[in-house]
Amino acid sequence: MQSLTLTRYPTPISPPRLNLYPLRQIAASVLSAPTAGINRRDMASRHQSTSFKPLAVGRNLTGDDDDGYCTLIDFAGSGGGEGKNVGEDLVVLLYHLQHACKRIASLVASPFNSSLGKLSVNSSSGSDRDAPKPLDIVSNDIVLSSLRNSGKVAVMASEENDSPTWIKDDGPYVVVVDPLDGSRNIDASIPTGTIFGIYNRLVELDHLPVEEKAELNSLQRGSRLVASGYVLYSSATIFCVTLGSGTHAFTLDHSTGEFVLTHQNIKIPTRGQIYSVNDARYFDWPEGLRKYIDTVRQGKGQNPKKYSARYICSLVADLHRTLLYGGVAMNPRDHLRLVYEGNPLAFLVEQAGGKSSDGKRGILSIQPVKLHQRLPLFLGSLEDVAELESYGDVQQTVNPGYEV
Amino acid sequence: MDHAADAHRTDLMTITRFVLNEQSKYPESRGDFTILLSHIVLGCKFVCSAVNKAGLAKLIGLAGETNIQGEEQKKLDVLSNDVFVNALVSSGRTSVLVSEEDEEATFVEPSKRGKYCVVFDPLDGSSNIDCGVSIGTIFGIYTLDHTDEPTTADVLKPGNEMVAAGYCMYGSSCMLVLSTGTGVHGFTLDPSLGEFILTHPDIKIPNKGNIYSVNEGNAQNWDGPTTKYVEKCKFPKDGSPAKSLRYVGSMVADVHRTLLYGGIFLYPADKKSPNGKLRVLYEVFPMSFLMEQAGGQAFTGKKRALDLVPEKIHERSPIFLGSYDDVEEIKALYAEEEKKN
Repeated sequence: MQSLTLTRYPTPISPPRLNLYPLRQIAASVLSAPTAGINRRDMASRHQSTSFKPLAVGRNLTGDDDDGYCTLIDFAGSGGGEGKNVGEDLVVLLYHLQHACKRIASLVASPFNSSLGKLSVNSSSGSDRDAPKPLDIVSNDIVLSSLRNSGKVAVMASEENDSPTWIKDDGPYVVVVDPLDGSRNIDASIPTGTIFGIYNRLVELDHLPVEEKAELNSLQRGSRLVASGYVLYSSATIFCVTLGSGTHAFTLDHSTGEFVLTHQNIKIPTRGQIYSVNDARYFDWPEGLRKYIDTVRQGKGQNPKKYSARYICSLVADLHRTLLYGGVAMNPRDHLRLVYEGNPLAFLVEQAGGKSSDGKRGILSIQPVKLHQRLPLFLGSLEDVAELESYGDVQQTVNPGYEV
Repeated sequence: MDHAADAHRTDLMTITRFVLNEQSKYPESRGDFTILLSHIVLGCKFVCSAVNKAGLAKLIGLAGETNIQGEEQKKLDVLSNDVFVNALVSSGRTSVLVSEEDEEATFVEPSKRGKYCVVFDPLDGSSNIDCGVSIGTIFGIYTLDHTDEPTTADVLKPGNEMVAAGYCMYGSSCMLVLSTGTGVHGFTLDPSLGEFILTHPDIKIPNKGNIYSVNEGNAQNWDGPTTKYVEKCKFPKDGSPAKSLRYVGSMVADVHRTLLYGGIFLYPADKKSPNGKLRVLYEVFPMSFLMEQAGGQAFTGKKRALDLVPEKIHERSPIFLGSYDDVEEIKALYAEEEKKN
């Protein structure tokens, strides 16, 4: 599996023509990222020869005063479009995170992943050391390695691991992650994604034993998130993120290896016309949810238009469509994880002007008590989610144990 | 599996090598089909690259605005159409082209004509580009069986006369699925090599699946058999496990999943679209051809899909396709309905 430590994309160095973030001193830290095919000394000299022009505070990053080409790192370094100082530590962390996601995107697109996608964790060929790992485990390793290299992360809690991994005592951030959401669909080329949330490390817990402080740091309420986002691996690779002031999406430009700002300040429509749920479970739904779906399908809800159905069954893909087109994406049974999926996506949706709910209350107000705690999840347009909640009984409690 | 070693193998079965191997089985073959296919493959690679950059279009000059030369820049579906028309014409192996994007058929000028007619949807599901959903190109190939001036009659033939069909899906990976009438094979684009590699040889759809794919938002407009069938999927009376729903809303993505996992894809007629919505020549026929070649079935609600004889190039039809046993069930419901009437 040696080649998994390499990336096929060019190392993301912005060409001199671009406006770069004003944090010149972080260049050295950024250079600690794993790179392929470019000499690090060359990189350093190229960084130094670049003119670091500060971005105008609060300006439109795709305005007429430059070529409109703004990378994720430019954007974060300039305060996430709002001119507020997000801090160099977060910029470095985001750099390493996007690097990991580019490596995952490369793996997902590769024709050589078909067996990676199907293997079970216990499968082995020959010695355990050489046993190939399934793609979600490989993705987990990639993210963990990148977060370690960043030097900015105290603890990482992953959907793939039973307990969090303590990385660095003085790391300022806590990262929760689902490294490859929807990975069981990989062999049918169905879109997959990486979901992440970033919290500040709780310094008041520093005196506790490692296991305890690792867990408590990871069990923060969603309302304390500093940043969150997802990366969609589909027909294009899209990095959608909020740094606490709006939601923004960046598309991977394979020619430069950069995530480039393509959707600034996404605003989810206050109402949509699409609902996303597994309709096959209709007979297991509570009365309220059945009533809601029947009503909007017929165009008899608060929105007089008939709603259409879309259900990819890949949370990131269904949410991405909902974010852009409006409507509501949901899983009414307690299936999705609060820490790794619910909180990061709820924060992102709310930053885009949408609403999150477990059917009764906002997701971000829920205090997690277990790392892998599950809950029903309803995300989408403000008015659609509010209307859905008004039907009262929308959480599915019947769960006969589904095969698919 | 050693990913590093695989990535550096030189004995990979590329799509060109695969088609050349197939060609060698026919001593009389002159390689026309291989040349035609290589042009289709090139078109797919080009469109794949453009789709990857879809969100960057405004920044790099693809979207519907005016560029610095004062020329109108092209939307992705229009661009894809131009790519395929140019690729097919320049192959020198085609006479008639029918595209979803063009109202009329394209007749190739005499000096560049060949013995094939190609029907295609250059970018199926293109309304999904913005939201990052998988989209694709669908194509079907007929042979021209005369030397007279070509006409639309040369493509208004039943699907069972197609000699090849396929689709290229631009998803998390780029995959080209092809049948030349001897099974169905899947090839995945290796971005580092720029080659389609055989990754899914001889695809066989499971006899029965546990996924159904339909837009349930239209349920109130369905006919009796479709309504009954979907209800049966959700709530089987015989104690078998309920099916699960998946509906991307992009035909290529939904059919691709059905092909690999089994189950059924439905786009029925309804009160709004009494003739269904999908186009016979470049959606229904190619996908039905692939399904049958993989051991599945395709049915229109009245007959085997490939037995339809289209009268217009953009004609529509209802379609039910997928696993053999699943399609049998819906056929039985339509037969029952017919008895009643």
